[in-house]
Amino acid sequence: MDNNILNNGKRNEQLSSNQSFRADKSNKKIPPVEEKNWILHRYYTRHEYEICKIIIEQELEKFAGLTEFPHYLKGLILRKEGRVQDSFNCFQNSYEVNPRNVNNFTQIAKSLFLLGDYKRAIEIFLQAKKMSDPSEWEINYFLGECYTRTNQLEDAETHLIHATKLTKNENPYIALVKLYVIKDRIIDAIDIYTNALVSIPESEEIATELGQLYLDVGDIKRAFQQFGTVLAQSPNYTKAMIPMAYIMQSNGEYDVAFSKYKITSQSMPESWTLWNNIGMCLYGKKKYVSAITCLKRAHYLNPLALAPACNLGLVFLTTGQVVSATIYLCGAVASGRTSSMAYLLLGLALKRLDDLDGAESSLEKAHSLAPQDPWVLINYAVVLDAQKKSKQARELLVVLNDVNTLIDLDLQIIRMTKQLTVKLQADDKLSRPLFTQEERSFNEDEV
Amino acid sequence: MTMSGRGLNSSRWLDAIWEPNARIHNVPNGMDMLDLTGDGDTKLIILDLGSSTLKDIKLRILNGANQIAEYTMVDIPSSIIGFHTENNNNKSAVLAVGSCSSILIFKNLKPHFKFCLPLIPAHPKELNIWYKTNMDAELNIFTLKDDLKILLKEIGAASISSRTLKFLSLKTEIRQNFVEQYRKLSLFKVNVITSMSTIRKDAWTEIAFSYLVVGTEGGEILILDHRGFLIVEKYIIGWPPVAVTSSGLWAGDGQIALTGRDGQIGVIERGKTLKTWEKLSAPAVAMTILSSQGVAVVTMNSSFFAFSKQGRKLWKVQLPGNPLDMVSLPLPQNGLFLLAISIAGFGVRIYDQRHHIDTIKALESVASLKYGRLGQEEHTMAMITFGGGLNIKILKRTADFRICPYFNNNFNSLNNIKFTIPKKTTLSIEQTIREKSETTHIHRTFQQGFLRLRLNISSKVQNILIVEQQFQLLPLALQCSILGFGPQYKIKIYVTCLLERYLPNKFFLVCRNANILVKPRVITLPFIAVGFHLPAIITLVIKNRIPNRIQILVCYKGQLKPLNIITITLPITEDQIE
Repeated sequence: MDNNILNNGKRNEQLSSNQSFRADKSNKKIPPVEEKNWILHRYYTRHEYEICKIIIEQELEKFAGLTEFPHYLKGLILRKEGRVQDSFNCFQNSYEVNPRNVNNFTQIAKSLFLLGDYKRAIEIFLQAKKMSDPSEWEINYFLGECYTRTNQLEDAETHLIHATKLTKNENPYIALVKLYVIKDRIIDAIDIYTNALVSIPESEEIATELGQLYLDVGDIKRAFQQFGTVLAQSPNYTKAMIPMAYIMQSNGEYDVAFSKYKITSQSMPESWTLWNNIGMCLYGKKKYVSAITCLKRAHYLNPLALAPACNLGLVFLTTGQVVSATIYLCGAVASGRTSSMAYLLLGLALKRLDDLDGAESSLEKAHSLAPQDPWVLINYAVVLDAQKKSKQARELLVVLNDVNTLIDLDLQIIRMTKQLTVKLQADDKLSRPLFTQEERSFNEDEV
Repeated sequence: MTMSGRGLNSSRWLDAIWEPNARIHNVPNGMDMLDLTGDGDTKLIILDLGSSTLKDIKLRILNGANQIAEYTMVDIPSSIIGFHTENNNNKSAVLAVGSCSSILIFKNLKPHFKFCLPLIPAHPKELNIWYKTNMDAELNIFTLKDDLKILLKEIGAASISSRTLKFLSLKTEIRQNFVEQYRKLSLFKVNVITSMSTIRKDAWTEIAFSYLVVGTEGGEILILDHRGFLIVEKYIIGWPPVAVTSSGLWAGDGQIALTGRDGQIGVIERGKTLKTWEKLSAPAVAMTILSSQGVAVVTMNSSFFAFSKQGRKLWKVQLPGNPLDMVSLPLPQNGLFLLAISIAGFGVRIYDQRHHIDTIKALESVASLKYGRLGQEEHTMAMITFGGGLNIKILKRTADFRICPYFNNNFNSLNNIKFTIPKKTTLSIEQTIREKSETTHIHRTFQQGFLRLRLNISSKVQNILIVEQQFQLLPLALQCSILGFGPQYKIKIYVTCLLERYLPNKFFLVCRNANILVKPRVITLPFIAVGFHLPAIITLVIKNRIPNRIQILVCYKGQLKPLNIITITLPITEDQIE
């Protein structure tokens, strides 16, 4: 070790007795450029961005912008403040000052990624990949994200798989699964998460996402297990708590679900999903007034969401406030044009307002969206009958009978079908209007 | 939540000193407790950065709340640390202040020695340029500037000395002077200290000889021996460490853990190269040792991690706010090894492993922490708040951390949750009653009003379109054909220019429809030459079985009204043959 030449020339210097180190003949000393980097980083990690920016400006002025780290850090801060374009410029400055640092490349590329310029981002990431350490996973991960967004799914897959092999970070796994979901390869997606949980068993996010996937494919038992494990690990993890409560709620355990929602409401009081589910929970407990207020809050928090509007319509129909129901259902129909449920409920509401034409067209729409739905069929048939279109009504009943052979229908539907058949057979002349209401208990809870 | 549970009627901490107007601006690693004079009375040494913009920096030494010494600092010290230079000799205490590129050593309350970090030799090319400048009889600052600029582009600022950077940043008129002043001096790059720590050499005694561990901006870890101020060992890590902590004996199984600005984390063992662990998800705020198990790290994204010595993640705890500092609280008499984390807005939280067991409430957020022996007291916690206040608390000898009021947190808090379902007003109840009784009437009135509104608007729009837009002759001819059996169709549109000149590229086609997935919905037309057929293809997917219509609008940018509308009726989808 070359310790003997330490350039420690000041060693023999006599210390003055005035209790301070002699100033270092200091007019000849140029302070190093990196002198304040440590304190900048310190302030940055403590989220003291304002002070940080003041010192950065001082430093940049002192060296006329020829310092790398202040530019770089300014970029990071501006990005945190949401000024992506400005931060992009900062990273470009730091790249100008030091083109050899891979970090400058990756940050420029990340900025482009955030700005939505994926093609250029990919170019720069590929360049950075050549310069960087091969075990660096982040570049592969971002390349995967970029390729996903430019619809080059094959490339995205290779890069993301590569990234997952290099790291235990959750992000590449989640991105890969999203990709598989786009490609409709749910089984592979589930495999990825199961494997991920072997190497990162403590990841709550992945465990919850896996549960969510199970829920999406309808494997409620596994989903329940998954959420259960997450909650056993960290009992206050809200992301897992809501779907867990949802499952309980669908099984009719309203009180348990409600207590879970109560805990969740502490950490996310402005979540419309949460208030929507609370509303439906109260509806399940037949507390209609509270249900309405909760659903209204959900609707207020996200007026464009389908579920709260649709659910509000349903609860209003139940409480007999048909006009309010109509208003909300119109909103629901406007926001979810592919939801047969919203059209069905709107049809029912309009029928109760004696607007049979409106009801018919609404149900026609519902029927076109879901031609096999027994609830739509029976209600459409009833309305058609009331509109004296018994031929069409009969056709619908035939379809309904076909459906009946395939699945077990609700008793209410079967009874209604019988009545309607009898009435239609009793002939067109004896047209006795038949007003009966059909409603389906509706639990569309978004999770 | 109150600090003490029902079983505890008082805090575990005694207030010793609370000096709200101490006006100390301090950051982590800027405080230590050391018996500087060897009289058995431990002093508190605080690095006061003056203000957040770093003016008027002082080193203050306090005995209790009284200041006994103060030194003005020229550079900005990044960390201070006290250590001993002999085993079992309490007179051998030394205070090291890492300041810019030198370490100032204080002994017996007096400045003792200044150690400068070895200078980094400048890049040969840079050296060459300055050498030539020195040799030249006539100084040409313009060629010098150009040469240095090219060099900067080539090798990057990280490997260039501050002299060159300063020169390039100066105004032209003072460059001459600057060069005159400096060109005769030898050119070096100066290293900067970013973090410091100590590690015991070979003894577990309370007062033990320690090496100084110094992390530098150049990406090195230096192990220094105080006695001759030799660099005993040097490790290249490649990135500047922002926090360094050590455990064990350097002569034995000692380990130095360090973390970098981008969240890199790793360990060094004697004679081995750096072993890096999985990168942290965010840069670390503070790092400390975790009994003998490994290290604990708090990160910018409010997480608290623990790692084993081998780098395995032991746990991750989500903190309620931004962490500011963290220290270890060894309590060997209780067999405990706690951690104190200062969290912005939440005071100082004490953790036993991953469990939150106590909170020291503070009026202001605590900027930095230090735990150790102070004065005659074994277990004291010194805290400096953001407002510059000094707060010293003593852990009661009777403090019992086995009773954990926070342990059953989840069950207790369940009952305490305030949960209110929004209430209905009397007005809305009255309205409900009215609505129920006059349903159809309300609905009709609303629909009438609504329809009238829509009618008014449409007539206004119609008016604007007809009156205010001039009708133009359509310069384009469109020819559409539908391909496919459904539910997927392709529409092929041939656009032909009819005019005797080039058309500007301001035309575009828009598809209007309902219930059909259309891709692309808008097609911008390029320049079209006369008589040239430009094909455009639209793909459709029909979602239901209703006969559908699709409208193709020919539009011109900046004009409200479409130039032409073509309506295409799509054939009903044929059944899929299975």
